[in-house]
Amino acid sequence: MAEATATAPSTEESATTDDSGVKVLARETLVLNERSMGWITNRIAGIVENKQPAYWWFLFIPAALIALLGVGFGLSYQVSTGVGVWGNNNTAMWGWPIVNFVFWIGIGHAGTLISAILFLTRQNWRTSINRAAEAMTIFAVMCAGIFPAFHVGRVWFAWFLAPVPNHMAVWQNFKSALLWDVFAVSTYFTISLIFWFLGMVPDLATIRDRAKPGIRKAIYGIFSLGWRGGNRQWRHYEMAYMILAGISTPLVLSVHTVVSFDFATSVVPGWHTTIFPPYFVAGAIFGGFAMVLTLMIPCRSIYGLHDVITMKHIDNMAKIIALTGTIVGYAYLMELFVAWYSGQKYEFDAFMMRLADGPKTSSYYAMMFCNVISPQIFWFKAMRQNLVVVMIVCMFVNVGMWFERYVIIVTTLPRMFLPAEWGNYFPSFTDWVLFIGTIGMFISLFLLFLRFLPCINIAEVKWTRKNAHAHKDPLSDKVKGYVTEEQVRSGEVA
Amino acid sequence: MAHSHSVHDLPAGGEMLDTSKLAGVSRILLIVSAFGLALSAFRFIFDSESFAYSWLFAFAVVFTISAGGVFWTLLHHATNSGWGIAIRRIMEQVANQILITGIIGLPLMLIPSVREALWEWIPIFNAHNGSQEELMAAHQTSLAGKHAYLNTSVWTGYAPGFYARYALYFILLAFGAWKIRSYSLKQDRTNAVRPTLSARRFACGWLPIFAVSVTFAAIDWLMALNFVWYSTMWGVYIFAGCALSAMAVIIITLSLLKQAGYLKNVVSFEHFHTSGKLMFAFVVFWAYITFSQFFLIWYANITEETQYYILRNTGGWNTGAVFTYLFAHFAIPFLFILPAWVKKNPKFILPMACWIVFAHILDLYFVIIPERGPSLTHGQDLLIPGAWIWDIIALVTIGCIWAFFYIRTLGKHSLYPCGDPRLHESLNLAN
Repeated sequence: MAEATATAPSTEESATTDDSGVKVLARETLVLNERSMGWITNRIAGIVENKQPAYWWFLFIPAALIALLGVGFGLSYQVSTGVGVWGNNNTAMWGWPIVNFVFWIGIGHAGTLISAILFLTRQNWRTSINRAAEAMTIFAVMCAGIFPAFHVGRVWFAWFLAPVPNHMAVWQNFKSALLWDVFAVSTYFTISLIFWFLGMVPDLATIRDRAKPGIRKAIYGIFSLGWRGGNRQWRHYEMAYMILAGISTPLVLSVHTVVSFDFATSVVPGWHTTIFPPYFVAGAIFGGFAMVLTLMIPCRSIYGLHDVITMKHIDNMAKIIALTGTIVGYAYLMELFVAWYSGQKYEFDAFMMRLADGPKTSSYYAMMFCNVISPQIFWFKAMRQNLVVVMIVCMFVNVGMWFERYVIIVTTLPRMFLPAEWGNYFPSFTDWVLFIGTIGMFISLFLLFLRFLPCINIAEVKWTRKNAHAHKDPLSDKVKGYVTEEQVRSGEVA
Repeated sequence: MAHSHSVHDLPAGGEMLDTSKLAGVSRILLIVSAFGLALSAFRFIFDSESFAYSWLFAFAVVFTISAGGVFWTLLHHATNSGWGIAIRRIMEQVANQILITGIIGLPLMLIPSVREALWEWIPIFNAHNGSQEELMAAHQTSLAGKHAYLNTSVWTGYAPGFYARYALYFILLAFGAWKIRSYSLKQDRTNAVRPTLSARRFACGWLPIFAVSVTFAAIDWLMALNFVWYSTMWGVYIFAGCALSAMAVIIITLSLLKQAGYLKNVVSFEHFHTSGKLMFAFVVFWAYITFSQFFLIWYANITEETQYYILRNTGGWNTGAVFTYLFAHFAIPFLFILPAWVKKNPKFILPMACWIVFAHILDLYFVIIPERGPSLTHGQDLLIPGAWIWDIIALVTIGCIWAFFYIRTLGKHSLYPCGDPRLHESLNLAN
């Protein structure tokens, strides 16, 4: 792991130029202003140790109230009255609850992607954002889980979903994609939680060591599992982390693949299309990264983390949003093309109802604009460097990814094969209350995470520093001089 | 990091492949391809329809490999990568084979009996004078509906026609491959840094063009073998094979070059490890895409869609398909490429890379050849007896032509981008 971080020389080195021979292009540094190891620890652990700024309370109190009223009251009302309080009807039997479920599950993809896939591909810049992204994953999956659990109608029978032998001889239909979803999501949640917690152990120990004796020290002590930072512990830790990353990678892809199977294994026009699995996965990564930026940009400025979460990090994430947005656009257009090319009347009509003469055509265009067109602005570096633009695009993506699921479910179901069963769908007041409630729940959980846990991986950020390596950086001692991209752009170097 | 090397220790001007030592190999390749061409011509004269499928199959193999080369080169630049600079010239050279591939495929487009045997929509289209109304009147509704796409005019009214698209794909892919290499060749001479930045910009812009070209090429030449059938995943599926087989060819090339004593202080086991990991990743990605496509079609069981798999699951095709899709293309490479020591050692990864190319060939065989029997015998026979020998002859012929030009291209420029400002980073790659 430590070896993995010995990649490029960075601009921390003296940037002198040498015109003779091959030049060496420097990499942008990931921690700015030559911050010391001590500074990194103090700044990140300080978030947990110091009093929270006023912003935190301004955000937390309303978010917690919304969560309490929305999820608490909304669910109590729904359970005590029945699922009839939702806008679902005979034709649109899935409606908002499943829209919200898929939306939140999608958000929950960036965390483990950043932790696992970017770890396996040796992307060091992940270290500043992976912890918060993983936390976000956990909370998003918790929000997601609420909807299908209560969608079963009598939530006290939700245990029927688990294959528990019982005297009532209730056994699951293993041929159903909905059941696979139960397994996929719960496995994903478990592994993500373990991965998140495992990565946090060294940092929890740091906070434990800095705390004064007392209840605080005791609690952090319990959760740091006796971590002492010895060589053998690090060796085991890195091995476990690597294996978990390897396990998580197919898991990340499989979860949204299975969610896509909920739709694609059916014979419903507009749902049954073979590109659904990779398209859902790309969409989930897309939405997840947008949410990471939505949370981390304010967090970075509230807690003064500009030297750890640099513009380079934001730039990279903006590029990933542009890439995945374009992949999602490819899938939308490929669906449309094949709906036409196939000559399948029902398939084509399903798309025409989304595009032209259905009840909710504006949602299709909202989806297209938010997900495909708006991220294209990230082709321009100046736009990726402008935090206002980045925040606006991320908001568009958050909204657009919700609309994507809305289009898939709510524009399709009310217009099925029989015109006699055609209907329409309108969310009820309870639908609104529940959805807004989960947003409140998500934000308050994230704020609690910032309050009680180290929001940036202290140990891993340090590994990206050149002086983290026991041996001298092998790149620096044989190079005559580095060139930076700025020197090339300004014409100083050819 | 015992293998730490400085870019300043390497010879100026890079390292050239000594093609004079390979003159014997080149001569053999030339003789085999000449002999193969003669045999194929013989086959064409006596059974042009069966020949068509053999040629398309062999063409698809080299096309996917070359297009995969374009992908890896563009991707390496677009992601601002440093790890693979030492091996990027090989990617560039695989990519630049795309032009010769376009020439190899010309008989498919130019010879009427060949194209009409392959793409059954063409004779139907021609029989009705390319008119949508006539097609409708003749109850060819499926084809009439595709009139704006499956169309032999230069411009269909909405898109370039079938032949024009063939030219367009190759122009776009070959230009991309040529342009991206030219930046690097310029650096070989001048050691300038700016081309790195320009190439990155170009690669980002060209990747979407690559994606669209490969997708529609896959639809035109392979999906439209049965013009009723469709799958939205098709472009991704063929792309997965492109990326996988190209990486395998890159590893084979590197491995052979290393064994011949080239790239001594340039390419280390770390490069093999990383490229092996990418090959492994695409083994899994290919399996994911292929399984998803199969599974969704099988589960929904819609007549127009399942015919693709029913054909490949009937008669003798069944055993081969199970072997190809389950074992050759997934289980075997998955198990054997997974351990790090296999990926790190050129001697071990070489046979695995060869196996991947073999599996990829089988994959394309099962995409193309099962369509031949029902097409030519109108559903009476699934297999044309003895035709497989001619498939192999076509593959060997086209493979030798491709390899002959590949060796020639490799010898023209330095084997690694010797003036690249990230070369130093790549030399000191550590996983």
